[in-house]
Amino acid sequence: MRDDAMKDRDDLDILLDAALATYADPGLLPGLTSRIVASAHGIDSRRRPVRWLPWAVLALAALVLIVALFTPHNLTHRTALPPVAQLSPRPSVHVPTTPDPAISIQPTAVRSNSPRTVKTLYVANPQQPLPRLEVFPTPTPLTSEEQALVALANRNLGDNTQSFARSQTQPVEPLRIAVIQIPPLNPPDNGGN
Amino acid sequence: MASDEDEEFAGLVKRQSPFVFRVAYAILRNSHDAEDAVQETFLKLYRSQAWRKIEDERAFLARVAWRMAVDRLPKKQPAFAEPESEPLSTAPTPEQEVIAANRHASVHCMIDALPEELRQPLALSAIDEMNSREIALILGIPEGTVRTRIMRARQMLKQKLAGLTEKRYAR
Repeated sequence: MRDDAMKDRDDLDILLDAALATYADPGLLPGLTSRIVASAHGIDSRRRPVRWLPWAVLALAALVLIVALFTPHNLTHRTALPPVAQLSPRPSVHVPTTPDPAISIQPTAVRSNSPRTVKTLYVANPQQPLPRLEVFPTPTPLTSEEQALVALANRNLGDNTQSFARSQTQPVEPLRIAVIQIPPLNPPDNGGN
Repeated sequence: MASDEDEEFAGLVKRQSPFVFRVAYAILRNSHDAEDAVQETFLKLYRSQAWRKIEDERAFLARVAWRMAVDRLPKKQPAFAEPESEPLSTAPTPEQEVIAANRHASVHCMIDALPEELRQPLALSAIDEMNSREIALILGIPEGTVRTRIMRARQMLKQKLAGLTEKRYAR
């Protein structure tokens, strides 16, 4: 009986070792290695664009900079325009002083912060663009009223300049300040206010 | 995967994936989960480029795979399972022959029912004759603790198997 028990103990060890040997060995799944390598390859292919991404960003930034520098808007600003006096005379263009009825300028009442004042703003209708003149208007000669106004302004300016220059040439006399005499205060009479 | 480094990584996968798979399977006891853990292990290494600096690739991979597998392990463990029949019977009856053919499966059930702290060292000890020092490195516990736990696990299993054998003699 005891020998049988001892034999069973040995059998148990053998059984246990045999079972343990197969416990963690189910047999390798077919294609496991290739699947892992393929997954790594997928990661690699996703990672590769990152390598040239900085260069692409730099190239794009440079392109944007070049486009911004050489746009027609900037070119027109950089071109030196001839002075107005050298321009050939152009036919005067009549600029209407009254609003064009084709342009609908709608008064818009805007209530300001003050409750009593209401400001009226004229806002052009954004759907109807402003009239575009074919030739930029050249300065027209001054009218007689404008010439008279200019002459008046120049004359007054000359008078003021002359009076100022005259005041500067005259010697400055020292100021004389009279001695200030302050009489002592008399005490109020008894019984008086 | 055209560069030499990628070929080197593919070589590492071919060389170590069976071992890593066994480590993961020993913990998870499910082929699909184990494969996922193996893939995750290698892909993590590939992403971090850590595989280039490995000194002991077997121990390193076993450690990473064990962590991956443990993370996938369900929290709830099954209760200690009693084999429904006598696994050690060698009687020539057809019924007992079927039972004998499933002896390993019955022992596997017993191992599965062990507490995790005992089951994992025991299962790892069955993989490629992994020694207690390697198991200690993987589990992050002292080598003496590994030996103690393996011994306790084997004792528990043998007691269970002996009880079944005594039942057979008692008949």
